Order: sequence, then C-alpha cells, then structure tokens
Amino acid sequence: MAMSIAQDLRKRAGHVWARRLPLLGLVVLSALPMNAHEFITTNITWNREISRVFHRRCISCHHSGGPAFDLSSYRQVRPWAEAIKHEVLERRMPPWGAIKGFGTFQNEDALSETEIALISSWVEGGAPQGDPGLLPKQTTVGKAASLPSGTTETLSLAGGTLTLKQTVRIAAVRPETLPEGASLRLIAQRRDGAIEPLLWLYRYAPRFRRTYYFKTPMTFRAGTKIQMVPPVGSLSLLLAGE
Amino acid sequence: MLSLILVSALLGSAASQVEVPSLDYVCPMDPEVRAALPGSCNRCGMKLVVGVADPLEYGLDLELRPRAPRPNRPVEVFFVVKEPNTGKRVQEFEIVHERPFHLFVLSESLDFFLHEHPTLGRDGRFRFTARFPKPGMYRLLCDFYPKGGTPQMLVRTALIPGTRGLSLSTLPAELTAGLTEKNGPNMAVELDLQPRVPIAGAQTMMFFRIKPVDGFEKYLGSWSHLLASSDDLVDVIHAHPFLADGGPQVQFNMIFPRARSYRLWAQFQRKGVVNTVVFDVTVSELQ
Repeated sequence: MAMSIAQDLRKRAGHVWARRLPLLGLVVLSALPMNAHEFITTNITWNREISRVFHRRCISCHHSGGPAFDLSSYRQVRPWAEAIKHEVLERRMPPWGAIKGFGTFQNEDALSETEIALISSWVEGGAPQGDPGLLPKQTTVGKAASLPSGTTETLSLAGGTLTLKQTVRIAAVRPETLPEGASLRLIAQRRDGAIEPLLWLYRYAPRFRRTYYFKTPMTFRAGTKIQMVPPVGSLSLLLAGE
Repeated sequence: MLSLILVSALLGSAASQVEVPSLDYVCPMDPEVRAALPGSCNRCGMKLVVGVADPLEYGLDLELRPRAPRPNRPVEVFFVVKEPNTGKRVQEFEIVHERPFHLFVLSESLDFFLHEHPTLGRDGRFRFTARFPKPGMYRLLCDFYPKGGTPQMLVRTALIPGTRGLSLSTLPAELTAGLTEKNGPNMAVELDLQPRVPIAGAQTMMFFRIKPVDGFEKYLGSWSHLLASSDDLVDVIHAHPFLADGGPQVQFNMIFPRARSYRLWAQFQRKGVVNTVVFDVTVSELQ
C-alpha cells in the first residue's frame, strides 16, 4: 500500500528519535530536579527497593499515629532523605544501639550493611521515586519480642566483672545506668577459657533504652566471668527459668 | 518560548513513538546495575535477575573448635547458614566470584587481614582452618549468596583468649592517613581520591593506578577486591570496582559512613600473584 507523504515523514522522524532517545532520555532524566540542586544518578528507587527496607525496619515506629513521625510513603520520606542518610550511616537510626555481629538477638532491628548501602546510594543519587507499580502491596510491621516464659530473676553487673556463683541461663541484657554516648562490649569468659561475645553497645542513648533478647538463652556455669569493657555503668542480666 | 514549545512537542512526539526500556534485570550484588534484557553484570559478572528482590537477612552461626583457641595455633572455624523464616540449614549457594563463600578476617588493631574461602562440607557447614596471630577481638565479614535468596554480607566476632583471658582494647586502631605509593610482591599501586579528603556520607571516587600493567589479570573473577574498615571496626565494607577494564586504572566508588579513619585493603593479581596493598584515609565531616 502506498504511504502518504505525511505518514512517511512521521515514520522517518520516529526512526531518528528512536536512535536518539536513549541519549536524550538520559539527558532529560538527569535534568529533572528533585529540588533546585539535585539530579538523579541512581537506579535505586523508593518504589522498588527503599520502601521495602523502610517497611521492614522503620515503620513499626514511623507510622501515622505511631511514636515517631510518619515515614511510610515517598511523600513523607523525601524531604527527610538527606537527614535519614546521615542517621543511618551514623547508626543512630533505627535506634538499635548495638553493633551487629556481636551476639545474636531475637529482637534485632539494626540495618544490615546491604540496607545501609542501599539507602545511602539512593539518597546520594537523588532519592528517586520510581515506578509506582513496584511499590509493595502490604506493610510489614516487625513483631515485638517478649521475654521467654519463666524469666523472673535478674543479676546486676555494676561495672567491671561479675563472677557467676551458680549455673544460669541468661535470656537478655538490659542497660540500667549508663552515661549518654557510652560504648561498651559485654563478654563472657567461660571456665574452659572460651570467650563469648554478648553485646556491643554503641553510643548509648538513654531515650532509646531497650532490652536485648538473645536468640536463645545462653547457659553459663558457675565460675564464668561476665565482663564489661570499659566498666562505665550498670546492666541487668535477665535470667531464663529451667 | 517558541523553542520551548518546539522542544516539548518534539519530546512528546518521540515519547509517544518509542518505549523506554523498563530495566527489569538487576544485579543481585550491585542494584545500580540494570538491563532491559537478561545477561551478566558488567562489574561483577553475576547473572542478572528479574523481579524485585527482598533482601532478607539470613542467620549465620559461628563455631570455633577448639572453643578456646590459642593464638597462632590452628583453629577450625565453622559457619552454618540458616534460612531467615524457617531457621533451616541452607545447603545450596550461588557461586560468586568463583567461590560460594568469601571470608575476610580483621584483627582489632587492623594489622591482620585475611581473605579466604571456607569450603562447604556435606553436612552443610562451611569450614576453614585459621590461625589468629594474637589474643583479641577479630571481626569476620562473611560474603555469600544462598540459592533462592539475596547476597549476604554479615559480620561475626571471634574472641581469642591469651594466657590470662582476654584484654579488649578500648581505643580505636592507630591509623596514619597517607596516599604514598604502595608496593605489593610484583606491582606498585598509587591511590588518588576525589575529593582529596573524603566526606562522610558523600560519594568518594577512588582511583587506583597500578604498574606495571602487563600480566594484570582478574583475581577471583574481578579486577580487584576492596575491603574498608573504620578504625573502630564498626563499619566493614566489601566492594568491587565501579570501572575497570584491565588497564592501569581501577575505580571504586564508596560512601564512607562516618567521619573517622578507615583502612583500605585493595587486592590485585598480576601473573598469578595476589598483591594486597593497604592505604589509610581520614574521612571528614561536611563543613
């Protein structure tokens, strides 16, 4: 079928633009400001990756009517993106207050290295929103940990070292009196010489004081030394029953 | 105004005729790498995957045998990977950079560095024989990719007692910033940073320049492996090059988390010999 001149011109124009569009698209995309000075240089988006991290790690507190301001949508997060990046990199948020990989805990809500890298790269790249079709359908709110049944007693560790007088099962550790900003490591030196990492508190913030529940209660025999380094305050060791 | 209208009309016309690729394929290791079609990551070589990954964190149990190892004596190190929802032992892993498990070991003073590869036993445990040179705390960065999951970068801690128990340091490692050329067994490496003094939270471009370049080859599937640790061992980061092609320059991009000192271990291979060079950098606050 013969093509009209107008159709032919449109088709040719389409071919030219089809060849140029990838480059043009990049230029246009780069020039779209998130605010007056920010440009998109990342493929990581809120709708695809970041919303999932926030839903898993942040919105149990940061939701409408929750104890902290709402961060459940892009509209609410975007103005805070730069501040969020710094809070996350400084490990102030989420306020877990302990270093990962030094003891294992059932209520741990610290970000993984992968999640920290995702958030910081997203913000550095202009914090784009992305394809709305990729937003997760459901909100995931973390479950609160509870004391194992039978937990009744506590041992107090007020600086330095506590030598256990009998066999105990330690279910959790709770900071009591610690100076603001204190960092300390808690270790257990067993009688056979083995040393277990229990908890590494980092820049303690009293307003976010919480109890750290071990993944499973840890059994220590009499003679085990529980040591706080440096000895800067007091902690409670919560004991599990038999 | 007329030119604006014209440009808008042209863009509108183009957009209506050409579909923008959706870039659905993602590198599971580096989510910045996207493609419209299946293929491999141009940075790390991993197979691109389609869909939105949910990066759940796996469980990882560490066991030392003997339980109270002596410094500089062999100790068996075991790792058990557990599925995050069921707690079941994971026994199948993707091969990443030629190995199913990359292990980095750092001493508290940052004067000891190890990049090794535990092997997977029939019982589903990764196993490695180590020698910790002195008493103290060691941080173990474990890099693995469970089949059906997402790449994991998890840190664990080993505490090695001395003859009188354990004495933990309360001070950060002593690092002295300097970018002078470093020598490995058969190559020299220079490092240039942009900005010259990295800023916490902002991207730093790191340009490693190696010489001689003949015989430069990939080490474990990558032109280089980089590990960065803060002087207090809180931040431990494993990275691969942003740009590298076998030429003399290898570029990494990194966001240093905090305004502290960091030690970098960069590994390159030439003529079958691995060169590990160390640089210390000081990261500043944004002024």
